[in-house]
Amino acid sequence: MLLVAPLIIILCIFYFYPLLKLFPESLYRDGHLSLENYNHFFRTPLYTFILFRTIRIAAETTILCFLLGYPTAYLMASVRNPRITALMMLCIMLPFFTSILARSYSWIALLQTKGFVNFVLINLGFIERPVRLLYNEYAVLVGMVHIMLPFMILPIYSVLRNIDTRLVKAARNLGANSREAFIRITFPLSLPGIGAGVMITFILALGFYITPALLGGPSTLMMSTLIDQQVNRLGDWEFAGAIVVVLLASTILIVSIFDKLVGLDKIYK
Amino acid sequence: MKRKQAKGSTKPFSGLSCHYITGLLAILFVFLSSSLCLAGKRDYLVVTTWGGLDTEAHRIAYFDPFTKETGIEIRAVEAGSGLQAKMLAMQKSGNIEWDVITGDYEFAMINYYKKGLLEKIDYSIVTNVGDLVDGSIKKWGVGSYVEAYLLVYNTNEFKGEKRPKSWKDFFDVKNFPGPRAMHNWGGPVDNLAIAQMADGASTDEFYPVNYKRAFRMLDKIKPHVTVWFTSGDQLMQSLIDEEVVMAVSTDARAKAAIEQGAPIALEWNQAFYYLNYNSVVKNTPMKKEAMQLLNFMCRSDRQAEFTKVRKMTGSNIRSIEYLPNEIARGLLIYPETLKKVFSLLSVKNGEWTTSHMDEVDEKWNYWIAR
Amino acid sequence: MNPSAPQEKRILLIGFVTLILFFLILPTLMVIPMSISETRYLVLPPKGFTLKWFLQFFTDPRWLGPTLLSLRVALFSAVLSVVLGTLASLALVRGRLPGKRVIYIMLMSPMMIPVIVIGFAAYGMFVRFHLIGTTIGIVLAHCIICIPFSVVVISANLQRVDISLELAARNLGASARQAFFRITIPSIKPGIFAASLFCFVESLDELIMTMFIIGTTKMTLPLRIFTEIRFRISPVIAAASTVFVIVATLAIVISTYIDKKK
Repeated sequence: MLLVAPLIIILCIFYFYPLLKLFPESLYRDGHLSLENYNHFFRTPLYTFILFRTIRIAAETTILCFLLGYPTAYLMASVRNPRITALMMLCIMLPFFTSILARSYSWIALLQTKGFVNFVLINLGFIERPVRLLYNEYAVLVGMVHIMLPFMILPIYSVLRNIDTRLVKAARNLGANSREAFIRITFPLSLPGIGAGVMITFILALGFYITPALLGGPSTLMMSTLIDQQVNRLGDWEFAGAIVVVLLASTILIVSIFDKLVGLDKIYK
Repeated sequence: MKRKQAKGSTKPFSGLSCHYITGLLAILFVFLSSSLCLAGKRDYLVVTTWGGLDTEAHRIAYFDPFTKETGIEIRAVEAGSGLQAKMLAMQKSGNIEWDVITGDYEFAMINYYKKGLLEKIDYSIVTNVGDLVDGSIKKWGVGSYVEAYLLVYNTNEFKGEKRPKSWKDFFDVKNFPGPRAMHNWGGPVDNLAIAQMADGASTDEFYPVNYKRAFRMLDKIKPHVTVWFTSGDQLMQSLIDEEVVMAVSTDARAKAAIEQGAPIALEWNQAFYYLNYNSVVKNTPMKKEAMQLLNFMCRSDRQAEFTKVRKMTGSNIRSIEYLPNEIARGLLIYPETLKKVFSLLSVKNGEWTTSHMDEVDEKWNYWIAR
Repeated sequence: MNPSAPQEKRILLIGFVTLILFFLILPTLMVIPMSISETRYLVLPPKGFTLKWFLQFFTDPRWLGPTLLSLRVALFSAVLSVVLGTLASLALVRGRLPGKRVIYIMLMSPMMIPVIVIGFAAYGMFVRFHLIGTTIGIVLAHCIICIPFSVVVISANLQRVDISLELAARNLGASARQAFFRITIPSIKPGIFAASLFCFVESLDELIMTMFIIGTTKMTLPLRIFTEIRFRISPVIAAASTVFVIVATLAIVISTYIDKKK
C-alpha cells in the first residue's frame, strides 16, 4: 500500500536508520564484541529491581487512568447537550495547555505539608496535624494519573461516540437490561478505544521523567532516570544502549500480550 | 437520493489520494534537498551557559566586555539537560555548533576529555592563571568559579551553643532532632564523604570509599531525611518554608535562601568545595578565539563582576579586591575561610572518584531506591 | 427491577465524573493565582497582586519569540503527523499489508524509546540534510515523536468504522475516494480531533528532541522554561500557562457557539 509510504520514508531516514546504527553499540564493551553490558544489567540487583518497579508504577497509573477515564468518556459520549459536552471537553483539555512543569509545581504547592490540601483537610476536621503527602509514591501516582488521564479519556470517547446507539436500543428492545446491553454491546465495541488509551498511557508512563523526579522521593527512581544518568553523567552509550534495548523489549512484550487480549474483540463482530 | 449525492461529487475527488501522495513526496523531497550552505569558519563564538541568572551573569561580566575589547561577537546558548549527549553527537557528525562550555564539574570535564570532546588548554594563550585557587589549572579546563558544600541549620531551632558544628552533629538525631535535607543530584560521592566524616574518618581515608562504613551511617539518618532535593530550588524552598531544620547545601543557595527570608546560618567547619571549569570544544574552528575568552574569564575584575550578579565565588583569589567588604567576607576565597575548606578531589587518592563514578552511582542508587 | 435504579445510577455516575473533572482542572486553577503573586517565586496562596509577569511574558522577546515559534512548530507538526498518521492507519487497518503487526509496533516505537536516545541518533541525519536550527528540522523532529499518538488513535477509530457503510456507498456507485472522504473521514472525526490535540500538545511540551535540533539562534518555549527554572521558578511560567489556558478556553467556547449556529 502506497499510503503508508511517506511516513515510512521519513521515519527510515531520520529514525530507524540512525537507531539501527546506534543499537549495535550495546553489544560492545571497551571496543570488544561482548554481552557484558546485558550481563551487567541482569547481574546488578539495582537494574532489574528498578525495571520491575517502573513497570509496576506504569501499570498502576494505567489501571487508575482506566478506572477514572472510562466512566468519564462514557458519560461524555452519552450526554446529548452539546454545551455540557463542550464543558467536559474543556476540563479534559485545559491541563494540556498548562506546561507539565507548571503542573508539577502546582501539585507541589497543593500537597506540601503546609499546602492547600492539608489546609482543607485540617479545617474540615478530618485530620489534626498536617500529613506528609509529598515526596512519596502516592504523590507520583497522583501527578502521573493527572497527566495521563486525558490520553486515556479522549481515545475511548472518540470510539464511544461512533457506536451506533441503535444497536443498544435494539438490544434493549430485545429484552436486555441496561447492564447487559453495556456488557454485550457498548463495552466490546469500545475496546479499540480502550486499547489505544491503555497503550498510550502505559508506554508514556514507562518513560516518565519530570513528574517522578519532582513529586517523588528518592525511592521513586525509575528507568528513565537511570538512562539519563548513563547518557548525561557517565556518557556510557554502550551500557545505556543495553538498558534501552531491555526496556524496549519489555515494553513490546507487555504491549503484545495486551494486544492479544484486546484483540479478542473480533469474536463479537 | 444517496446515489445522486454520491454521483454528483465523483469528479472533484477523482485521483485525489494519488495526488495527495505525490504532493507529500514532493514536499518531502524539497525538505531533504534543501541545502542551506553552512559556513566553515564563523566569526562569532558560541558559548554554553546554564540559562537564567547564569547566562545573564556571564553576559554582563564576561561576554559583553570581551566583545568590546576584541570585537569578537559571542552567542550564548543555554544548554538544557543532555549537554554531554549533544557534544558527542556533534563530534560524531563533525558539525561543531559550540566553541566554549562554561561551568561544569571536574567529574564531568574529565569524562568529556576522555571521550575526546574537549581540546587541550593552550596555556600560552591562557596566561592569567597566577592567582587562581588550587586545582584550577588542568589540561582539559580552567577553573571559573567555586561552590562550597556545607552544613546549614535553622536558627530558630538551634540557638547559641546548642547549634550543630560538624557533620557528626548533622548525623546526631538525638541531640539535634528534626527533619533534614540532603541532595540526590549529580554525584553522590560527597554524600559518602560526609557520612565518613561524621563517622570520624580523616580526609586520607575517604578513598577508596568504605561503602560499609558510609552506608551504615547513612542508614541511621535516612528516616530523618525528609527532603532529597534534586534541584537547588527545591532545597531553597524547604529552607524558606522551614520544612527542614538542617541541610547539606551549597553556599550560593544558602545565601539566596537567606535573602528570601530563610532563618538559617552557614557552618563552614568541614565544608568542602568543587571547582567549576570552562573548557574548549574539540575541533572547534574558533580555537584561538576560544582560548582568548578563557583567558579573559580568569581576570579578577571580571570575576568580581560575575560574583556580584551570580552570587557565586570566582576562582581568582584577587577578585575579592574588587568587591565590597561585606560581600567579600562571606566568600569561600576570603583568606580565613579558604583555610578551613578543602577540595574533595585533591585529598589523598582523589582521582579514585573519577575512575569509579559508575560504581559509586550504582551503589548509591540501589541504597537510595530501597 | 426498580425502574428508578438506572436514574440513580446515572446520578452517581455524574457525581463521580464531576469529581474526576475537578481533579483534572485543579492544578490548572492553582496555576492562575500563582501567576499574579508579587513574589519572585511560585507561591500559593499568592502574596499581593501584580500583572507584571504577564507584562513580561508579552513584552520580553526572550519569552514572546519562543512562544510564537513553539506555536508555529506545534501547528505544523500536528498537521503533518495527523495527515501521515491517517494515511498509515488506513493502510494498516484496511490494507492487506504483510507483517502488519510489526509495522504497527515500529510506528509505535518512538514512544517507547527515550527521546534523548532518538535525538542523539538522529542528530547526524539532521546535520546531513542541513536541518539543524531550521523550523522545518524542528517540525520533522517533533513529527517523529508525535506519529505514535496519531497512528494509535486514528487506527483505533478506523477499526470501529463500519465497512459495510463504505461498501454500501460503493455499491451505490461511489468511487473509493468518494467513499473515503464522504463516509470514512467524517466518521473518524472525533479521532482526528483527539490525535491533532495530542500531537499539538506533545510538540508544544517537547524539550529534549528540540535541544538537539535547535541550533544556536532559536529557542522554543519549553527550552526557555527549562533553562529559566534551573535558577528560579519564576511566576512567568505560571503566567505563560495562564495565557494558554485562557486562549484554549476561548477557542472551545467560540467553536461550540459556531457549531450551534450551524
